[in-house]
Amino acid sequence: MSEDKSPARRVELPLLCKFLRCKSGYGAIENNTAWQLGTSTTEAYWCLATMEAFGPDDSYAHATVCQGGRGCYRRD
Amino acid sequence: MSHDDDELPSGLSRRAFIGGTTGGAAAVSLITLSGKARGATSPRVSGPGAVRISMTVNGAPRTLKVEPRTTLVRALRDELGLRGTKVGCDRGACGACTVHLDGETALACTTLALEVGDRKVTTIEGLAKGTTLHPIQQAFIEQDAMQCGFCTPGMVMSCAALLAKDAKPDRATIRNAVAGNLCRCGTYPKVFTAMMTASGQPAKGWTLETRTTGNPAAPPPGSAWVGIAGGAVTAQLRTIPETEAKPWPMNPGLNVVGKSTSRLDGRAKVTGEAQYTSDVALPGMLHARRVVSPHAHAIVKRVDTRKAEKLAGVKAVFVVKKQEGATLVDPSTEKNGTFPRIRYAGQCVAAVAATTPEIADDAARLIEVDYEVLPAATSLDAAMASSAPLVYPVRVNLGGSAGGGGAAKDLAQQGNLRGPTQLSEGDVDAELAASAHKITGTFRTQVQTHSPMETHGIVADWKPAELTVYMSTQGTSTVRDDLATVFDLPKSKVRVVCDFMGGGFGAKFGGGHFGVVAAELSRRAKAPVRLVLDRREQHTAVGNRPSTLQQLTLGATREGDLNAVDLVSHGTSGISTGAGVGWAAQRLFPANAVRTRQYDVFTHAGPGAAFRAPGMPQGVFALDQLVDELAERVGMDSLDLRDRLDVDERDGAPTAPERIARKLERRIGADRIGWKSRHAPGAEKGPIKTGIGVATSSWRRIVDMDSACEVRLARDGSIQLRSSVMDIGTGTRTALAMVLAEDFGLRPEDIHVQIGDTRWPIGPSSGGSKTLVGITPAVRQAAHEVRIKLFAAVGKKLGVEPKDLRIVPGRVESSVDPSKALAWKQACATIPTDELAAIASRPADWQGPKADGYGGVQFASVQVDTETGVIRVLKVVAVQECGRLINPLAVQSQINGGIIHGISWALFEDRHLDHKTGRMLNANLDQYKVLGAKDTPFIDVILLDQYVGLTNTDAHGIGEPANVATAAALANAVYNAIGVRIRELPMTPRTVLAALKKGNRS
Repeated sequence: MSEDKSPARRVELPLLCKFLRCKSGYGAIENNTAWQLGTSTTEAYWCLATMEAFGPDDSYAHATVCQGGRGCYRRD
Repeated sequence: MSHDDDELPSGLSRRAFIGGTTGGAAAVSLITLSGKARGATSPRVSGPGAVRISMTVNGAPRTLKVEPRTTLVRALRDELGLRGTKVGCDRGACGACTVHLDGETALACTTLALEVGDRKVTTIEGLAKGTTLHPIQQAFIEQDAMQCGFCTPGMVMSCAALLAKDAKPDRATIRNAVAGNLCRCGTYPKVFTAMMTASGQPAKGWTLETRTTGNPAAPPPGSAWVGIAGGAVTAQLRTIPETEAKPWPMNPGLNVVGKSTSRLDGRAKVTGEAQYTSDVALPGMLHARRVVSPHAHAIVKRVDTRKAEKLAGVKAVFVVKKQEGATLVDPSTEKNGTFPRIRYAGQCVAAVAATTPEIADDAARLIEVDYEVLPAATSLDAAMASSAPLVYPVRVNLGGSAGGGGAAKDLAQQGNLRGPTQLSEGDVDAELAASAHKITGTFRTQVQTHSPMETHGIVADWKPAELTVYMSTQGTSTVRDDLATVFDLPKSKVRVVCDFMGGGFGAKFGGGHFGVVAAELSRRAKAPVRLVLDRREQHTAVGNRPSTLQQLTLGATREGDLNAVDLVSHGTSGISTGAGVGWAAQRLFPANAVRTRQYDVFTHAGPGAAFRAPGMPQGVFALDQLVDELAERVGMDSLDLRDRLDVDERDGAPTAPERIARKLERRIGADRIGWKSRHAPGAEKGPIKTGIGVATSSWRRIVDMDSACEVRLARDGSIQLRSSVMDIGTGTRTALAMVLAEDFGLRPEDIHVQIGDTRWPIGPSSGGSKTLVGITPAVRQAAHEVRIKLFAAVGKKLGVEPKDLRIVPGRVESSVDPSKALAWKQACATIPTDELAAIASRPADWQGPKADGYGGVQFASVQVDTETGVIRVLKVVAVQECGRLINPLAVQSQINGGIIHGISWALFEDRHLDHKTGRMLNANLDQYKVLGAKDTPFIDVILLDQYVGLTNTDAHGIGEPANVATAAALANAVYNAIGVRIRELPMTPRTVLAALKKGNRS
């Protein structure tokens, strides 16, 4: 479990699939809500396993679903 | 089914069209030439096969052997190495390929090389006389008539041709001359200005005013300046680490920063020397072409590549399979066959790499694909129907270990609707019930494609020791991150280079499907592979701004104070999420209660992507129109109501820097646009009506701590700056040089800036207006550390304590006794080693009052023809703040571009998908209308220098906030003109006439 380091909140972040990407997922954004929380409504996600907006299991990629328990989830 | 055979006529590239109509897959071309085209009087048949031709290019005779279907632009670029001439659309719509044939402009992408005959070809490389630039090239540099620079060679060639005929062209003539040259960055105003100045005429109509404080003093120790030009500026205490560079004085106290400066890479851009990804040519490089699905929804049953593999010149073939190559996953998790389901027309199925682009085209046509075509939901409304075909019929099952940590649980999904993402503060229903005024509106905005002049592209060079990719990207490190993960390589063995790039606007992050395909082809072929998407692929597969359907309700007191803001939005980002627009409603104007319910609607269309202030232009289009309506309902001036609403908390005075700024900006802009002369809505007589409108811009200050650089000072006094940050066209190179020049007492041109390569320290990606916020404090910090080392050496030489030394322009001197000094080069000669260097990461923000938002106010003046429905934008006034101004000239260029993007979206752009097939009907740059030179209004830019005291530079970005308010300002202006609200984009003549008809009826 990593941590949202934004000053306003300190919450545990989910360990998302290593193949999940979105624009806000790059870099080390300091003063924003952590993208891993999946709360942004303007974020388009994609999966590096397919390079499309959906995962190998045929459903969409998103921080709220690319987590442990999903069949195609990969961490390492 | 091949890529090109399936294209609709509107989507055919010139190269594909010629190939397809002159022999198709067999690549047999018979070209009949006549007249001057070949310098003969009788027709002659050329081909099949390559033929030898001669032409005079830039005064030199050249002989080359090309296939008859080879276009002039391809011959110039790939056969003669003259890559200054660009390919933007490949069908004669954008002008990027403009050259001169006997002094007349010609589009090299729609001219066959064989057709040139004995006409003399002049390209951008041949315009200057030796090292002396053509006057228009020089004027382009001085006026900053460029941003990304991809269109610049073509634009320069059109301008030069006009000047050769007309020494003093008027503005209308200039507009006509460049009407065929599209610039997605929106440099038209400065092109006009450059043409006027180059022809010795006064340039009027596109102005820049910078308002600063007039105070040159440094802040007292332990403090930083906070405030804005035109308002109060005070020194506020800050805890600044001893090891960090100290705050600068306000801009009047600086020598370089804050002064308009021509961009350092201007010469490279106006001469065609700037190398973009599509210009990279490596020895033995192959050319790739993708095969994409013509169907919006299908199951791929079979892909047969055998014929393609047998074609001479084909070196590698790749089929997109779930278990193929780098996309290997656990087969037990895979469903529905070998191939990924097709979810949009344009989805990649296969790709080939061959020795020439033509062979790659031919090979792509030879790949056979069998599809089981399924019904598709291709529009927002169709996808919301209960019977709509599902984009994602399989729901994610997270099993027992779902979620974890603080992530939001996945939202409900009903049919193609995902959501709502709900935010609620206060009791909206009660506040609405108690409101004296309740206003509701339904607003629609359309899909906008990014349409950068340079399409997405990559050159991938897979070597055992390192994967090197040249990529048109907004973030070199984002590409490295993706490719390292996909191919399971250490990041240290992936190098990404982006020297120049031709626009991105949010769509160029990460490796991209095409990037992975190219890298995989390179790995298989053991050769470099270039894969540059064509314009159709650009429109359909790599991102867009989602469409929206917004129902917005405001509740207000009798005096206009906001009780409630209630938004329900549906939007489609195609097969991806990200169509939200709630941020504007949530924070632009505080209310007692706010509720936003945002739905993503999946459709069988290409995925969305971040696009210049994601969600904000759409949200402001709705909100700022309803605020305008509220003002009318309350009986207040629209600006006065905004002042009343623009507070930190309801009934509180504004203290946040951005709200203080807004009030100032509204008054400045009102004076400039002539707000007092604004008439009542629709009050003018006659069919042509004018109107004025206003809207508000806001954006977040985003800080990316992955911002580092290296500064190297050599004993000869030369300075080098290196970072992997790239320049998207905003002038990052120049801004970084200015920052260093300021701290070393030099000129920007004395600094050698090398950026856009992951071999250098990590830099922020260019997106979200966060580039300078991130990187400039790191640059100052590295400079500070180098200065400390330099002062140690100089102090020893002069017998001065290092702490008493300072740098002033051209020398290092004692601040106690300025007579103890060394000229810059003498000072650097004291360095004990050949070089001093420092690598610095961005220091954290200093602790202080929050300053998370910034933006501006835009006013628009329009003319509406109520008989034809045509809207003409006369003038836009933009009053903006973006922290400390580094280079006002470049900031102005970005604001011009943001406004032009906004107008283009508001009036012209619209992605048309065939509802049944899901194919884009206007996937080009002639039927997908983007604003051109003839529709560019006058633009006044007023910049307010602002200090928030959070970093050692206080620089912000401007790309996003420049784009947020424009469409709403236009819509409000149109209402003021005709007295009828238009709540749907684009505001085409048809939309205007329909609104007028409806308005008149009611």
